[in-house]
Amino acid sequence: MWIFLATEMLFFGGIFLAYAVVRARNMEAFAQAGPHTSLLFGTINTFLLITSSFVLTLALGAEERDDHRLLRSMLVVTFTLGALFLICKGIEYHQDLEEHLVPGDPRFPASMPAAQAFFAFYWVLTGLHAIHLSVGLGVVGHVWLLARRDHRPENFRRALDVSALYWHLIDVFWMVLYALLYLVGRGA
Amino acid sequence: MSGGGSADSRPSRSWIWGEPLLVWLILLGLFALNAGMAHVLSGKTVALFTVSVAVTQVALIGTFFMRLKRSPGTLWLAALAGAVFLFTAFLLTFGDYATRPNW
Repeated sequence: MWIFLATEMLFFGGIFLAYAVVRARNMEAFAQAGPHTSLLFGTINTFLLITSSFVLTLALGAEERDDHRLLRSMLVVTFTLGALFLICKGIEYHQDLEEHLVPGDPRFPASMPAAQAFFAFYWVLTGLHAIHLSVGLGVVGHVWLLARRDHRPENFRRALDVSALYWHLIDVFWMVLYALLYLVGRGA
Repeated sequence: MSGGGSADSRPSRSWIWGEPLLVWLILLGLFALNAGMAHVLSGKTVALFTVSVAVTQVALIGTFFMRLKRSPGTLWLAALAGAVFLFTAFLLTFGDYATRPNW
């Protein structure tokens, strides 16, 4: 599983590297584009994901203690927080589209050309992250269904561990995305 | 009633909540610090600061939530493989650009 996580890290890492190169060459344009992202939604979503990782860690602890009721509850809370993240992201995307924050849109609000490159990274990175989170919801939902069974499969513990690792990786990527996309150009 | 059975090796309820709760609070604190300082700093400093805080958060999640703390050394190697290759890619790329004229 950790090897798979390493490949995922390199998958996102390549885009982070491209972002770093373009940003280093266009500091002013990125600072102009950054404040157009929604800090409110970015902040709410960061809180939701950090909390979901915390709750899923509690689920692992509950499993180790054979507290099946707590385990199932924590899995439901994790799933709900992830779903709330996607709902917030959907509302944010709707708002972004209304503000014409799409590269190539004639009514794109920032004047510097490289500001559009910033939003190209924004859509690609947040889109890929949302796809990963959707998969994570499926995985956590599946583990919850297994946890509800009277006779859980022998590899249940492994399934829980793997789903938790994948979920935390999604959280890890968001920590970096929040810094790269939502905290740019906010200073004086 | 002392009970004569074997000792319960399962983690206590306080352990289940204690460490993750502390890490969660630290993560939220770093998150608040990052959001706050982004409004104070500017230019290259803000990029350096916010990414450094994000990397610290990643390290905390990896060590405690992903339980690398309790994992054998070989798992640490596998976990660090991606980070090492990523660091190498950044080093080579920016090493190249930084030594170009007119960068």
